[in-house]
Amino acid sequence: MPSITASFKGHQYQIDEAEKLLINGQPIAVEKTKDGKYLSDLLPYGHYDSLSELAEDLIDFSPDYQTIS
Amino acid sequence: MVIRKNVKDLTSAEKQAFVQAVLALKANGRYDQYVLSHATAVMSEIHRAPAFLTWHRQFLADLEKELQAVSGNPNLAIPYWNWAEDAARPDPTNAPIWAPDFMGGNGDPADNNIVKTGPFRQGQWTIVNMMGNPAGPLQRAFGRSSSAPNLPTQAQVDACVAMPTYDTSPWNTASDNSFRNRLEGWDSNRGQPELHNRGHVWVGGSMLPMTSPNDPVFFLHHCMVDMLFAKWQADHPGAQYLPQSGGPPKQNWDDDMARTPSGIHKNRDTWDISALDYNYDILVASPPTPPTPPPPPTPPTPPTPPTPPPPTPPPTPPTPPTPPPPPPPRPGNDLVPGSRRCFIATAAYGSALAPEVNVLRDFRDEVLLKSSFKKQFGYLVKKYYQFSPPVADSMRKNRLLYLLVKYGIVVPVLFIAKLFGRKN
Repeated sequence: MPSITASFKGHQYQIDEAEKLLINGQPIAVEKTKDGKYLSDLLPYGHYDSLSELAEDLIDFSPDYQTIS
Repeated sequence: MVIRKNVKDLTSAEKQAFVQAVLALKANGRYDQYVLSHATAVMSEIHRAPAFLTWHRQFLADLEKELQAVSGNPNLAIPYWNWAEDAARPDPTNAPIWAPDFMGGNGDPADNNIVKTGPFRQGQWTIVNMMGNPAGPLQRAFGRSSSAPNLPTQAQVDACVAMPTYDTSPWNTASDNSFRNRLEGWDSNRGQPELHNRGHVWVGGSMLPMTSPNDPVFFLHHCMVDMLFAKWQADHPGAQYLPQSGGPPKQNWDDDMARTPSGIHKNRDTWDISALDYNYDILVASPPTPPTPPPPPTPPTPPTPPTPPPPTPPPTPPTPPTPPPPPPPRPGNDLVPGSRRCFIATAAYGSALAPEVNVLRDFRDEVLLKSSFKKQFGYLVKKYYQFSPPVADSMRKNRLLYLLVKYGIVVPVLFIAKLFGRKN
C-alpha cells in the first residue's frame, strides 16, 4: 500500500502501509485493534477510525506538537 | 473528613474557593507536577488495568490535600462533574460546570479551540508539555469527536455500577464483566469510548493526551469516576479488589502502585475512602429507611351521614421545644460496640472490606460476644472502641507502630479467629 504524506498546521505526517505513522519523521507507536481501529498511548482515551484522524488530533491537541501560542 | 459535592450544588463561595486554590497551586508550580505525574506514568500501570481506579483515587486525594494546604481551608473538597445529569440537558455545553465563574466554557472553534472564557482562559492559564515546558493556552472542543458526540447517560452509569465484580482477567481493555473496565470505558458494544473515556473525548482538546490534567476539569471528571467507584463499593459491600494476587505488577491488592505526587501507596491503601479523609454527598445522605409493610386491607365502610363539625377546643399553652433527634450514625465512623467497624484491623489491612477484617469481625460478633464470657468480652470490646481509633490513626502515620500492631497483635488474633472458624 502506498505511503501518504500530508502537512497539517506546520507539521508533516506520513502513513506507511496503513499501519505505520510518523510525525515530523518520528515514528508514533500505534496499535491496531481487532475491529480495525487505531489506538495510541499518546491519546489514551479513545480509538480512531483512521491514522490521519489520529495524526491530526495529536498535532492539534498534544502540547508536544505546539501549534498555537 | 471533607464531603465532595456535585458541582451543581456548590455555592458561589465554594466555586470561588476551589478556583482560587487551583490558581494558587498553579502559581506555586505544584499544579504542573500533577500534570507531569500523570503524563510520565507508565500507561499500563495507571490505565487499562485494575489500578486505574485506585491510582486515580490516590492522585485526587493528593491534590485535594494540597488544595486545602495552599488555601488554608481544611474543608475544601474537589467537586464532581455529574456528566450523566448533564447528558440529559438540552444543551450540556451550558451546564453549570462551564459557567464563567467556574471552569469556563468551550474552546473557540474558529481559533484552534482555545478556551477564552473563565478563570483558565487564554492569557490566564498556560498548559505544559511532557517536559514541563509552557505549551500555550488550554483547548476544548466539546463533542467534536465523531466517536463521542454526547456524554455518557444515567442508564450507562446504572448498568456499570450494578456489575458485581471489580475486575477480571486478563486485567486490561479486554476484560469482560469487569466493573473497572466498564467504568474506564473500554467495554463497549458500539466501538466507542464510554463513561470515563467518553468524558475525556467529549471535552476534547487538552483533555485528550496524557497531559490531560492540564485542564482542571480533569479532576472534576475523575471525581465523578471516583464517586461511582465509591458508590459501587457501597452497593456491593462484600466485593473485593481484584486481582488479590497473580495479576500484572503494580495491579495486585498488596502491590505498590505507580508513584503519585505524595509518594508510593498500595492499591489496598485506597480501598477505604474514610482513610483518605473524604466522602461523597450521596453516600452520607440520610441512611436508607427499611421499606414499610403495606397497611392491611380495610373492609369497605358503609357511607356515614355527615356529622357536624366538633367544637373547637380552647387554645393550649405552647409546649416546650423538644430536643432534636440524635444525628444518624455516619457510615464508618461509629464508635458503639456491636457496630461493624474494626478500626485496628482496618488500619492493618488497609480496608474495612478486606477478607481478614471480615474474619475478625465475625470472630468478635459470632464467637466472643456469644460465648459464656460475653459480659467480660463485651467490656473489652467497649474498651477497644475507646482506644482503637487513635491507635489506628497512629498506625497509618507510623510504619513501625503499624508493623508492631499488625504482626504482634492482629495477625495472632486472626490466627486464633481462623482456628475457631475452622472448629465451627
